[in-house]
Amino acid sequence: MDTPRIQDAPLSLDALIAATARPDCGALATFSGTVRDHHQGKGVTHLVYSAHAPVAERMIREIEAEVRERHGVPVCHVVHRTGRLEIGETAIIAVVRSAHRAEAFAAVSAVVDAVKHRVPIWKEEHYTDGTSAFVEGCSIAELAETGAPATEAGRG
Amino acid sequence: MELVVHCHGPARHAAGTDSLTVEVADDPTVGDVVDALAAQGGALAELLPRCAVAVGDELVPRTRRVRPGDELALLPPVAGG
Repeated sequence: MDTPRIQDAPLSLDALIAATARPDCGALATFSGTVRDHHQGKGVTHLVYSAHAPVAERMIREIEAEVRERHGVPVCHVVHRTGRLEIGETAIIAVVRSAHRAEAFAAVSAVVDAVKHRVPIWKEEHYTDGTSAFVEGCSIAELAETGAPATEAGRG
Repeated sequence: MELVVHCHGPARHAAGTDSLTVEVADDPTVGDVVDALAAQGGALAELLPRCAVAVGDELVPRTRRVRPGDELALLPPVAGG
Protein backbone atom coordinates (compact mmCIF):
# COMPACT_ATOMS: atom_id res chain seq x y z
CA MET A 1 0.00 0.00 0.00
CA ASP A 2 1.56 3.24 -1.05
CA THR A 3 -0.23 5.62 1.26
CA PRO A 4 1.54 8.37 3.23
CA ARG A 5 3.53 7.18 6.26
CA ILE A 6 3.45 10.64 7.82
CA GLN A 7 0.05 12.25 8.24
CA ASP A 8 -1.62 15.14 10.02
CA ALA A 9 -5.05 13.52 10.23
CA PRO A 10 -6.01 11.05 13.01
CA LEU A 11 -4.71 7.51 12.45
CA SER A 12 -7.01 4.53 11.98
CA LEU A 13 -5.70 1.14 13.05
CA ASP A 14 -8.95 -0.47 11.86
CA ALA A 15 -8.48 0.94 8.35
CA LEU A 16 -4.88 -0.27 8.19
CA ILE A 17 -5.89 -3.75 9.41
CA ALA A 18 -8.63 -3.90 6.77
CA ALA A 19 -6.31 -2.72 4.00
CA THR A 20 -3.61 -5.30 4.75
CA ALA A 21 -5.69 -8.50 5.11
CA ARG A 22 -4.29 -11.55 3.26
CA PRO A 23 -5.32 -15.20 3.17
CA ASP A 24 -1.77 -16.56 3.62
CA CYS A 25 -1.24 -14.83 6.98
CA GLY A 26 -2.51 -16.43 10.18
CA ALA A 27 -0.92 -13.87 12.51
CA LEU A 28 -1.67 -10.18 12.93
CA ALA A 29 0.43 -8.15 15.38
CA THR A 30 -0.29 -4.48 15.87
CA PHE A 31 1.13 -1.63 17.94
CA SER A 32 -0.47 1.70 18.79
CA GLY A 33 1.46 4.39 20.59
CA THR A 34 -0.87 6.81 22.35
CA VAL A 35 -0.16 10.09 24.10
CA ARG A 36 0.13 9.65 27.88
CA ASP A 37 -0.39 12.32 30.51
CA HIS A 38 3.01 12.14 32.21
CA HIS A 39 6.73 12.03 31.43
CA GLN A 40 9.52 11.69 33.99
CA GLY A 41 7.29 12.85 36.81
CA LYS A 42 5.82 15.86 35.01
CA GLY A 43 2.19 16.21 33.98
CA VAL A 44 1.74 16.43 30.19
CA THR A 45 -1.17 18.33 28.61
CA HIS A 46 -0.47 17.57 24.92
CA LEU A 47 2.30 16.83 22.42
CA VAL A 48 3.32 18.46 19.18
CA TYR A 49 5.01 16.17 16.65
CA SER A 50 6.88 17.44 13.62
CA ALA A 51 8.79 15.60 10.90
CA HIS A 52 11.07 16.12 7.94
CA ALA A 53 8.48 14.54 5.69
CA PRO A 54 10.55 13.75 2.56
CA VAL A 55 13.24 11.87 4.50
CA ALA A 56 10.75 10.34 6.95
CA GLU A 57 8.52 8.96 4.18
CA ARG A 58 11.49 7.35 2.42
CA MET A 59 13.07 5.99 5.62
CA ILE A 60 9.88 4.45 7.00
CA ARG A 61 9.42 2.57 3.70
CA GLU A 62 13.04 1.40 3.84
CA ILE A 63 12.66 0.24 7.45
CA GLU A 64 9.46 -1.65 6.60
CA ALA A 65 11.25 -3.41 3.72
CA GLU A 66 14.23 -4.19 5.96
CA VAL A 67 11.97 -5.71 8.63
CA ARG A 68 9.95 -7.72 6.08
CA GLU A 69 13.19 -9.18 4.75
CA ARG A 70 14.91 -9.81 8.10
CA HIS A 71 11.89 -11.29 9.86
CA GLY A 72 10.33 -12.99 6.84
CA VAL A 73 6.99 -11.22 7.23
CA PRO A 74 4.94 -10.35 4.12
CA VAL A 75 3.23 -7.29 5.63
CA CYS A 76 4.87 -4.56 7.70
CA HIS A 77 3.38 -1.08 7.65
CA VAL A 78 3.86 1.98 9.88
CA VAL A 79 2.11 5.35 9.94
CA HIS A 80 3.15 8.25 12.18
CA ARG A 81 1.09 11.31 12.93
CA THR A 82 2.27 14.93 13.12
CA GLY A 83 0.78 18.09 14.59
CA ARG A 84 -0.85 18.66 17.95
CA LEU A 85 -2.05 15.51 19.74
CA GLU A 86 -4.15 15.45 22.88
CA ILE A 87 -3.86 12.87 25.68
CA GLY A 88 -5.08 9.47 24.44
CA GLU A 89 -4.65 10.24 20.75
CA THR A 90 -2.64 7.84 18.62
CA ALA A 91 0.81 8.98 17.47
CA ILE A 92 2.00 5.82 15.70
CA ILE A 93 0.48 2.60 14.41
CA ALA A 94 2.28 -0.48 13.13
CA VAL A 95 0.74 -3.54 11.51
CA VAL A 96 2.56 -6.80 10.79
CA ARG A 97 1.03 -9.88 9.21
CA SER A 98 2.80 -13.19 8.86
CA ALA A 99 2.10 -16.88 8.54
CA HIS A 100 2.79 -17.56 12.24
CA ARG A 101 2.85 -15.48 15.44
CA ALA A 102 6.50 -15.60 16.54
CA GLU A 103 7.85 -13.59 13.62
CA ALA A 104 4.90 -11.16 13.79
CA PHE A 105 5.63 -10.30 17.45
CA ALA A 106 9.36 -9.87 16.75
CA ALA A 107 8.81 -7.79 13.62
CA VAL A 108 6.29 -5.37 15.13
CA SER A 109 8.66 -4.67 18.01
CA ALA A 110 11.65 -4.22 15.67
CA VAL A 111 9.88 -1.88 13.28
CA VAL A 112 8.63 0.42 16.04
CA ASP A 113 12.13 0.56 17.61
CA ALA A 114 13.73 1.38 14.26
CA VAL A 115 11.23 4.13 13.45
CA LYS A 116 11.71 5.70 16.90
CA HIS A 117 15.52 5.59 16.64
CA ARG A 118 16.12 6.56 13.02
CA VAL A 119 13.29 8.53 11.42
CA PRO A 120 13.41 12.35 11.56
CA ILE A 121 10.38 12.96 13.78
CA TRP A 122 10.44 15.22 16.83
CA LYS A 123 8.23 15.33 19.88
CA GLU A 124 7.65 18.49 21.90
CA GLU A 125 5.97 17.90 25.23
CA HIS A 126 3.77 20.57 26.78
CA TYR A 127 3.48 20.33 30.56
CA THR A 128 0.78 21.19 33.06
CA ASP A 129 3.03 23.97 34.47
CA GLY A 130 2.90 25.80 31.13
CA THR A 131 6.45 24.92 30.02
CA SER A 132 7.45 22.72 27.09
CA ALA A 133 10.49 20.73 25.97
CA PHE A 134 11.62 18.51 23.13
CA VAL A 135 12.12 14.90 24.17
CA GLU A 136 15.82 13.91 24.12
CA GLY A 137 16.29 11.81 21.04
CA CYS A 138 18.73 9.63 19.12
CA SER A 139 21.31 11.36 16.94
CA ILE A 140 21.21 10.24 13.29
CA ALA A 141 24.36 12.20 12.39
CA GLU A 142 26.35 8.94 12.22
CA LEU A 143 23.71 7.40 9.98
CA ALA A 144 24.17 10.28 7.51
CA GLU A 145 27.93 9.62 7.41
CA THR A 146 27.97 5.87 7.05
CA GLY A 147 24.52 4.86 5.90
CA ALA A 148 24.50 2.52 8.90
CA PRO A 149 22.28 3.19 11.89
CA ALA A 150 24.56 3.72 14.89
CA THR A 151 21.62 3.31 17.26
CA GLU A 152 21.03 -0.22 15.97
CA ALA A 153 24.63 -1.37 16.54
CA GLY A 154 24.75 -4.62 18.44
CA ARG A 155 21.02 -5.10 18.33
CA GLY A 156 21.30 -7.87 15.71
CA MET B 1 27.98 32.05 -1.86
CA GLU B 2 24.80 32.27 0.19
CA LEU B 3 22.89 29.16 1.25
CA VAL B 4 19.59 28.52 2.97
CA VAL B 5 19.52 26.01 5.82
CA HIS B 6 16.18 24.81 7.19
CA CYS B 7 15.93 23.98 10.89
CA HIS B 8 13.74 21.21 12.30
CA GLY B 9 12.52 20.16 15.75
CA PRO B 10 14.86 21.26 18.56
CA ALA B 11 17.19 22.91 15.99
CA ARG B 12 14.37 25.33 15.16
CA HIS B 13 14.15 26.18 18.85
CA ALA B 14 17.91 26.55 19.17
CA ALA B 15 18.16 28.76 16.08
CA GLY B 16 15.05 30.74 16.98
CA THR B 17 13.89 30.54 13.35
CA ASP B 18 12.72 28.09 10.66
CA SER B 19 15.52 28.86 8.24
CA LEU B 20 18.91 30.52 8.28
CA THR B 21 20.99 32.09 5.55
CA VAL B 22 24.69 31.36 5.77
CA GLU B 23 27.61 32.79 3.82
CA VAL B 24 30.26 30.26 2.72
CA ALA B 25 33.13 30.13 0.21
CA ASP B 26 32.23 28.84 -3.27
CA ASP B 27 31.97 25.08 -3.87
CA PRO B 28 31.54 24.18 -0.19
CA THR B 29 30.98 20.77 1.36
CA VAL B 30 28.11 20.09 3.74
CA GLY B 31 30.74 20.14 6.51
CA ASP B 32 31.81 23.65 5.49
CA VAL B 33 28.22 24.85 5.85
CA VAL B 34 27.91 23.20 9.27
CA ASP B 35 31.21 24.81 10.32
CA ALA B 36 29.96 28.23 9.19
CA LEU B 37 26.83 27.75 11.30
CA ALA B 38 28.92 26.60 14.26
CA ALA B 39 31.05 29.76 13.98
CA GLN B 40 27.92 31.81 14.68
CA GLY B 41 27.84 30.23 18.17
CA GLY B 42 24.78 30.03 20.38
CA ALA B 43 22.52 27.12 21.23
CA LEU B 44 22.49 25.84 17.64
CA ALA B 45 26.29 25.50 17.58
CA GLU B 46 26.09 23.12 20.54
CA LEU B 47 23.50 20.99 18.82
CA LEU B 48 25.26 20.78 15.42
CA PRO B 49 27.59 17.82 16.16
CA ARG B 50 24.48 15.69 16.82
CA CYS B 51 22.58 16.93 13.73
CA ALA B 52 22.32 15.00 10.47
CA VAL B 53 21.99 17.03 7.29
CA ALA B 54 19.45 16.27 4.57
CA VAL B 55 19.15 17.47 1.00
CA GLY B 56 15.83 16.62 -0.61
CA ASP B 57 14.76 13.20 0.73
CA GLU B 58 18.28 11.97 1.50
CA LEU B 59 20.66 12.19 4.43
CA VAL B 60 24.02 13.43 3.20
CA PRO B 61 27.51 13.06 4.70
CA ARG B 62 29.55 16.09 5.75
CA THR B 63 31.97 15.40 2.84
CA ARG B 64 29.31 15.86 0.13
CA ARG B 65 29.69 18.87 -2.16
CA VAL B 66 26.82 21.32 -2.03
CA ARG B 67 25.36 21.84 -5.51
CA PRO B 68 23.79 25.07 -6.73
CA GLY B 69 20.18 25.22 -5.63
CA ASP B 70 20.59 22.67 -2.81
CA GLU B 71 18.63 23.51 0.30
CA LEU B 72 20.05 21.91 3.41
CA ALA B 73 17.98 20.74 6.35
CA LEU B 74 19.33 20.26 9.87
CA LEU B 75 17.92 17.14 11.54
CA PRO B 76 18.66 17.07 15.30
CA PRO B 77 18.31 13.88 17.42
CA VAL B 78 15.01 12.17 16.59
CA ALA B 79 12.26 11.05 18.96
CA GLY B 80 9.25 9.64 17.17
CA GLY B 81 6.74 7.19 18.59
